[in-house]
Amino acid sequence: MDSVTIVCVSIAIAIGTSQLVHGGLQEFLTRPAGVGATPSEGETAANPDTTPPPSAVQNAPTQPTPSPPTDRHRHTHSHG
Amino acid sequence: MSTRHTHAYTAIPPTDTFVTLARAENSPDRGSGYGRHAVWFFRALLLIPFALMAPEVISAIMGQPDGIANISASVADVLGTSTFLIFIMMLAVTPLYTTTGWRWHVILRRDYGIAMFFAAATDITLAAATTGDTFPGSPLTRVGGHTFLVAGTLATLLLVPLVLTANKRAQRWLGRHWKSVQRLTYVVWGTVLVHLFLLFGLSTIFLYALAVSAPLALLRMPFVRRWWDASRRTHSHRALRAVAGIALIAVFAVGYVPLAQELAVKGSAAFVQSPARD
Repeated sequence: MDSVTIVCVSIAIAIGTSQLVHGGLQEFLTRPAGVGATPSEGETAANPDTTPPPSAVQNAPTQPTPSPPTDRHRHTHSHG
Repeated sequence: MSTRHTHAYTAIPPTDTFVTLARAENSPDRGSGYGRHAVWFFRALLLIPFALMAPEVISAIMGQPDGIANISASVADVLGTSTFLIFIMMLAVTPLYTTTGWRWHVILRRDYGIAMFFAAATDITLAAATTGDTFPGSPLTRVGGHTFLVAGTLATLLLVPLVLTANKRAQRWLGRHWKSVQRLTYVVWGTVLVHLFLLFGLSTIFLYALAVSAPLALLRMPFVRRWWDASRRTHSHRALRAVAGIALIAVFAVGYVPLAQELAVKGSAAFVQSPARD
């Protein structure tokens, strides 16, 4: 019965390996749209909310332009 | 040799394996009225996934339009979920014995194990034949073109030695080695969880699968099992066992109920041949 188990495992490994070689690693690792937790293309198009929100940096108010560094700062950094 | 092994299996309590043959068939309360009716009720439940898929399969065989596409949309939701639910029911047999001492249901472990294999085999066969719209390529691509597919296929193939040895003749032939073969059940369990994680990530169905698995795994731990069994036999720690039992059932239900609902919704849609298409 061990040989049956080994044959079964070998078949699964052989199928997986052949498909990995045939389709490439990226294809092998990623789920197609609409499969499992990956939303379908239709869902993504119909629900813009599912797209990632803009980052917090984009929403943040514009930072004031820093004043030009003084001679003292520049001197300190030059020695740092 | 065979007689000695048969008696050995008869003398020990049900094991954590795929089937327990001698004990179940010789159990004293198996022939009682309620137990016998309950066994047949739970056996009848095993027909549900095949009945749910039958209209779509018949339509596809008759060459009706959308027949293949309907199967492609339903097969994973109906047969995949059914396979997992049957597996969980099979795994629940031993913990139920540990906690209650019942024996009438032990024979169901073999029935559910064999039914799980047929549900998984039907799932993989239909997927290989019909899911070309989702997984373009050959039938091998549809069962092994992605990591989660390989895990599912491996779990199904690992059921082959379990099913082949799910009979008394194999039990006598393999002797003590039979038990180690049946421990492949745990490898299947882990592989199924990996399959669901690769498919769903840390969300929905994978978390439900963890929820149903946790109590079943806990009650298989040797010290927990020994403590519970001894407490039950000596009628001690009743309050503690009651509280623990309720907590374990609650965790189990958190995972099992949504999965059963998923099967009910997707299965009924498949039965009337209007599955939701992604």
